[in-house]
Amino acid sequence: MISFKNIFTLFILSLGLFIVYKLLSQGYLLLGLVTTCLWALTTVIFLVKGAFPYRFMYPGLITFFLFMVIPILFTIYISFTNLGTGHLLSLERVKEILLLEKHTLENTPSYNFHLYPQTDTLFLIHVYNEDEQENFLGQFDISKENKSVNLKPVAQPEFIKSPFSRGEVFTHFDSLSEINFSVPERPPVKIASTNYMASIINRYELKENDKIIDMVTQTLYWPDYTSGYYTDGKENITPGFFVNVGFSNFLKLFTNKSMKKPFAKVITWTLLWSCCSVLLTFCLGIFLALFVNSKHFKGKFIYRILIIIPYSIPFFISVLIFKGLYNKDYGIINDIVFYFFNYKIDWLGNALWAKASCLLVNLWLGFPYMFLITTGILQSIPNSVYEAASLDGAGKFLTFRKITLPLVMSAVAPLLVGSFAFNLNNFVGIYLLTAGGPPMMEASTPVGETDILISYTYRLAFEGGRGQDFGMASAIALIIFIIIAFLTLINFKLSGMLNEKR
Amino acid sequence: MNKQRAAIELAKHLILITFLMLILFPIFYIISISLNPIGSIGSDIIPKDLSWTHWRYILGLPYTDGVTGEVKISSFPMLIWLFNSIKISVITAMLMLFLSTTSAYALSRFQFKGKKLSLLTLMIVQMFPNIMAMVAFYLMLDFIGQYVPELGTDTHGGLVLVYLGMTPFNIWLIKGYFDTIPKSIEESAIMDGCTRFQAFYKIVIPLSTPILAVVALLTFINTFSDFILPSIILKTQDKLTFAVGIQIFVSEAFSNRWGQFAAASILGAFPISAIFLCIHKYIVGGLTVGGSKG
Repeated sequence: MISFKNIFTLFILSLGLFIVYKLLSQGYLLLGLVTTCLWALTTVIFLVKGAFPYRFMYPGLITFFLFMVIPILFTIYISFTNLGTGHLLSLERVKEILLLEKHTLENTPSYNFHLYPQTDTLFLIHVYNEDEQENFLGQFDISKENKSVNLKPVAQPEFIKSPFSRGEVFTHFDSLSEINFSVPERPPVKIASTNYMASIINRYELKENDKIIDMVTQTLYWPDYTSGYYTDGKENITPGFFVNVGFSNFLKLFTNKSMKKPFAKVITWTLLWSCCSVLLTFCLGIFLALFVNSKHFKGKFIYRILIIIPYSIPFFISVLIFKGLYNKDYGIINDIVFYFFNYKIDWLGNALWAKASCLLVNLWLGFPYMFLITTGILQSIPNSVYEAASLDGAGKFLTFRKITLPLVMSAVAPLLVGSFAFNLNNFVGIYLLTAGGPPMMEASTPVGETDILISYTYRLAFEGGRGQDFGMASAIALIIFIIIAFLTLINFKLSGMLNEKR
Repeated sequence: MNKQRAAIELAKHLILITFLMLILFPIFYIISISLNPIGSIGSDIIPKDLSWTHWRYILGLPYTDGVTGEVKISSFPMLIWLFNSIKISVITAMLMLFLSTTSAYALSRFQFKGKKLSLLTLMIVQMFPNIMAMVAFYLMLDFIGQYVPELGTDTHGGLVLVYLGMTPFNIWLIKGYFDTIPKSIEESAIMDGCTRFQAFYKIVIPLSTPILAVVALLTFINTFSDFILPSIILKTQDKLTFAVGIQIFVSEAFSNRWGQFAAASILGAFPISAIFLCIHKYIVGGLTVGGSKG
């Protein structure tokens, strides 16, 4: 039976086979093997009857695996390397690049040339030296492996056809530059540009154990696996390659003088920021919820919608709006402050005020969420509980403290931990408002007083200026991972998820 | 007694209204700025006269420059940014729906080896927001881009790929809903000759339209609002998303572009805000399971 399903399966499988073939034929062994495994898995799942449930699981799980699990593992791997500006390539790639590097010998004759096509692949080359009025001719077939071409001295030749333009020469440049042209009684030359020939040698040659030798100075360089450079003990060759540096990134964070202090500050502020954000939003949220949800209060619905409006606007827009409102010279907030106190606060330029501004904006952004969840929980508490309490003679405050709060807290605790984890990574709330600033003076890396761990990671990895440090950025990301993992554990304990949901 | 209660009620309303005015002030202010022809950062709260010039600016229509009086067209492709954001978010939401619905169905209905492990992994991993792996994403896309240029860095395809890793939360949400649909309906359908897959997409899917809509809209909102990943992955001006584009637009010259920014932010925020307000009840219900925003 030919059905949609069969055709789809066939399509997926043949697509996979095609990708595997492509990868293997281009020599990506590891990648090819991984893809082969994936392909085999797909085949089994879609063709074996017993694997039926996995067919449903498969698409979701594969993407989850490829774009969540692998990136996490990859992050862990990077955090143990020095990957970053100057160390972006592997040793193999760096070696290839260095071995391709050319060097033009000084004090040797150089020539100009014209290329005349005879047939599609047969070329005649006219080499000439204008000062000494010398002319040479040579002929070669570009489609064949030409290791060397002999040039013969001739008198000034004349040609009927016009030579290749420089652009046309350029289209063949890769194969042309490989050819050695030997000139009688002179050093051999190579094509160096689209109209210029000179004595060119490879700068480096490969020796044993990945060592390379500089053909000009005859110095031996060897790969240094701790610094990630080719070195002769004194000088390093750029570009460097990335190497495994063990725990060095982490050690730097905790011991290096110019990193230790800023990092401690960042981590303290991150935790403080998350704590304060959760506490402030929760207090305001539950207060409002109690206020609006009290019995006999009219217009609950309208108020509820109005209160959650700040939360409904995309965070990046609200935060940018506040950035304008906080402007020191013209912002409306300072207009009001100036009216009352005759003083303008440097909201985003002063470390303390900048932190306060961030928290204030986050309060504005986050309290409706707390309002929403506490409202939901308050509504789920049956009225009979309150009636029983008032029959027993409990006052309003006592009822709140002894009944409402404990009930709300037990339901809301996992959400508070979740909110804490969210704020730990609330990049937009910090970066779009202050961009991490004001900068910390003593730091050697780009870091500011309001930077939290995630914005520090971002700035290390993607904010130019002092170069990208992927290794260090990943190390910090890993520290966030650990904190979040810890929070997750707490959360499971709080919600009892581990026992219920299995 | 009754009078006293009414007085308290009135006082409560007054307090709440004052509070709301304070809270909603930035929004009113932004609306006023967007219509104020002066449009610099220190503009009055209530504009002296109104004009659509900032709106014309962001919609790519000819507008009159406030300083020189020339008639020009903005060089910033705001509408393209908005379109990019919507395109990426819609595609992500649709793919996400496909990926998470099927997985959720398997987890809700079948018994198979590795089910417990899958559930546990999904539950743990959904706690980790994907932006922590941003370096890895960037390098991975860079690598993929060497072979499939449409999915590398600075492409929308690459960005969507990165978002697709965020399935676990949605799988949880949908699985929870599937669990509430009685199995007997499908079982009787299978008795009548339906295949499993037919039972899935002819019975279970239509029955769970509400949650699927919520998941799609939620994914749409979250993708639209994301800043960090597109700012890493996208580089070309015409490919930027609204979030990244508007941030670059406004941080280059904050005080001069305040009016245009105000108009643009209303344009971008209004649809999202409207969707959110419509589905906020479901979101809170869903959030008690996991926790995406907040």
